[in-house]
Amino acid sequence: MLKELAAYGLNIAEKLGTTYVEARAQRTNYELITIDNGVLKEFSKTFSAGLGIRVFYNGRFGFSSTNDLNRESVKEAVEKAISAARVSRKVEKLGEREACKGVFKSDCRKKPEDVSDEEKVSLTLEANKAGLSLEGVKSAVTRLGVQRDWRYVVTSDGVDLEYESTLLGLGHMSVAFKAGAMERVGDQESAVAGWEFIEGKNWAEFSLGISKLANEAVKAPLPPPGRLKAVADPEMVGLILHEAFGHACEGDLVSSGDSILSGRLGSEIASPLVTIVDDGLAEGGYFVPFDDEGNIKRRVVVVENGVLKSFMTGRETAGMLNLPVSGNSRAQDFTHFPIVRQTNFFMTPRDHGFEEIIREAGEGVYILGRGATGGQVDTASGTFTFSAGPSWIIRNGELAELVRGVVISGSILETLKGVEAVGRDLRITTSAFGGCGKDNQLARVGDGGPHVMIRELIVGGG
Amino acid sequence: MNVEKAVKRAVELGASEAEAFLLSTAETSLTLAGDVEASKTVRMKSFGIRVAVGKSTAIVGTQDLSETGVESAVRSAVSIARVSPPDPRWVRMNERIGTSDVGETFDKATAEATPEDLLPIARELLDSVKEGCSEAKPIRGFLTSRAMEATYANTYGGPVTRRETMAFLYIDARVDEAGEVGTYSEYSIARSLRRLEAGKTGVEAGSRAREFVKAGSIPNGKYEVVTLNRVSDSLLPVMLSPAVSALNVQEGRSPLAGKIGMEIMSEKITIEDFGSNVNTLGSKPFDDEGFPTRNLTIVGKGVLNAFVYDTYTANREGRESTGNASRGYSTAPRPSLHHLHLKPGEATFEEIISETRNGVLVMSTIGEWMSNPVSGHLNATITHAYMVENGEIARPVKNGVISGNFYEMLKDGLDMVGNDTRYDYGVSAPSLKFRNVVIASK
Repeated sequence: MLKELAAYGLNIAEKLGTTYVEARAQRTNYELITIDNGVLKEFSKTFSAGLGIRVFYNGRFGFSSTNDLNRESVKEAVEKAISAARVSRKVEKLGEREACKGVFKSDCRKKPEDVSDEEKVSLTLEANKAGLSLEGVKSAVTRLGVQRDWRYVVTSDGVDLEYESTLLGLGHMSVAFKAGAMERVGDQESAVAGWEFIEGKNWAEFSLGISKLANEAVKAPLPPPGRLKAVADPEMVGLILHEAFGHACEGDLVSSGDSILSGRLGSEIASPLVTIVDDGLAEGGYFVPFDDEGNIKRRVVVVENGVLKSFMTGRETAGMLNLPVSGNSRAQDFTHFPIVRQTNFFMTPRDHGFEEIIREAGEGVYILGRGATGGQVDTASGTFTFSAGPSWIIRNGELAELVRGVVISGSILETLKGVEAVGRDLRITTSAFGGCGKDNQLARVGDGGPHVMIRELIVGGG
Repeated sequence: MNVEKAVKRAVELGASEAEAFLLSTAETSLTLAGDVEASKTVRMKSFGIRVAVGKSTAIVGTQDLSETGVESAVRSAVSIARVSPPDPRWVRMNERIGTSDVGETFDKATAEATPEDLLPIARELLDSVKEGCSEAKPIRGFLTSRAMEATYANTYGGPVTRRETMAFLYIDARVDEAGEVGTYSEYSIARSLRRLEAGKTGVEAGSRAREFVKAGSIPNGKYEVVTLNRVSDSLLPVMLSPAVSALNVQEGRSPLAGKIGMEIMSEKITIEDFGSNVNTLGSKPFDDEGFPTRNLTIVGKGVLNAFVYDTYTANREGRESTGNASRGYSTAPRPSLHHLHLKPGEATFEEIISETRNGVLVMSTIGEWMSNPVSGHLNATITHAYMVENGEIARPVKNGVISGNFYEMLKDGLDMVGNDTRYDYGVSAPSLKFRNVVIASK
């Protein structure tokens, strides 16, 4: 029925004088189980379905959406999209793309809907109990998240694409107490896969590991404030790249002048050891075979050996920047119009072993992603910040002691120019619980890289 | 759609209790980038049903509001609850449904605004950036008008309905001068489009952007720190909202557990939750369980007075809810502040600056949401600030991390409370002055 309504919307919009129409249908199911201190606190299922219509009218884009799934509402949405187009700016040129047709499905051997609700609850409960089993840990929350997403894009220039993906994961947070002090550590592991991913891992061990780390962290001091040499693990590299660099490579920010990388294509902006890629189908990452404009997602080499090679684009920004359409125009859901977003953004590996990197670092801090809570960037000024999980002070080329409350800040270009060694390992991760926020839209993303040594970052401490 | 019917249907299917929550939103917005980059209007209806079968609960949310969509949501909720392990602490859903008077929360013109209605305000915002500084460019922003209606009913009563409108604008300005770049962002938020201060916002963004072209860095060290009212607004809820939630207190995740009646902050600090204040953004006639809201003193002259409760956490302690349930359409209610209000002090902003010898006036931060409300450790990365020397604003600076224990900062560290309250959605606070704050920088 959704496909039929999309076709109807397309038809109506063409009759009303639009020169291009894009109709997006979506159906999403999300299941969340929350166990709080041994008790099932929440079992929720969310079903959403609807249609988003974007029109190109008199050289301007306008968007509207509806979840009232009947012809009358679709017609109204088309009219509202046209009215929205009247106030938007004129688009000089749209990037060319090939109109593709196709159906994509992410790997899913065992469908999560074939697993009973009891089994899902019991598995989450077991993981939570294991997390609580350690002395010193008095509070623990465990969550199981399962997302099924079906998206369909049909356009007046011949695109007819659909995909279905399954994303699931388990997250756990433990709070440890010691002598009046409290510390929390949270972590999650997710994958684009079927239930086999959940079955293939010992989640009790996973949450117990988090509790052990929380018990260590609560006793740990804060790091000394100031500038430190840093070794970042793959998760932290992913976070730094996404925040500190990825956003500044998004074509809309580049074309509006809201990125410090505007006008810098072809110049050396990073250490020659740095190569950065955005890939919609990277292993371990999120699943983006095509974007919400119906562009096939291409693998983009953004930085090659330190030189800025390209930006991520949709059709409008590709036109403005004279770049190919890279398939990065993504919408949170059918209620939003697509904007330029990262998919799986990561650094490619080089030659260093982990121990070699720590030895070469000599003195500094080894920042870890486990327990990190995120990051943020001011793309215009180039300032970024992120929080790391419990991390290690490096002394005499060895890991010395654990520190907590590590917050890092830096400036985009200095940080990438300061990359002094890149490891040979590569790990890309995604999450079923969160994503990246931009312009009030949340998008699932993946990121990662190898272990990386950075000359200097500002570390906030006490 | 009829929420009472859904509640009845759940009971017919075997639920011992049920509650239904219907949310309608309508939004029109313009994205700005030099000019109006894009525009959209969205209407959305979402429905949630939460059921209890004995002490086992489940929630199902759907955006398919057809008869079959609602029926399948209700059936699904009952069948999940039947197989879910019981929560031994479950007592019952809210039995006291009613409303408080919070004045007019709805503006028709804002609710019905079309993209064309937003256009003159967007133009005023974009043009005023240049008024602030002729070289300044508006680089990114948005303008949104939103209307929301929520209806609640459960086995014990209802339905009750509330509606509200809100308008919001934001602009990022940039000045390029001899290879150097200065930026600044400003926003305005109000109940109605007509009350937005587009001109003032644009002028402020443009003129500040110019000042920050020449921003230097902050030397690593300890300073007197003044948080501008809008920075106070962004820091306070991050740390306090989770800490005063009765759920976090009961589950062992709040540093304030067991501290009711104790002096946790300076006596200059009084913090209220404006649940039912008239004309305050975030106040509402009833909470997300249909319980009437009220104003509540959280911290009175430095002494911790109360935590906020929903029905579940209140029942656990055999007391009444404070009317602080908050939820999405498909999530369980949780206790949360409606509008955190830090009572203003006596000092004007100018007096605070004139009392500062070696300090940093923080104008804007990012990443404050990454602070740790469990340990009480506050972190915020400064994007825009001024050095203050001998009572005068000396020069613009950027990049540095404020770090410290939030409760120590608000107790022995607190020096002055301003009278320049800024009202945002869900929070209002004045500028604050702290002693001995660590700033990590270059």
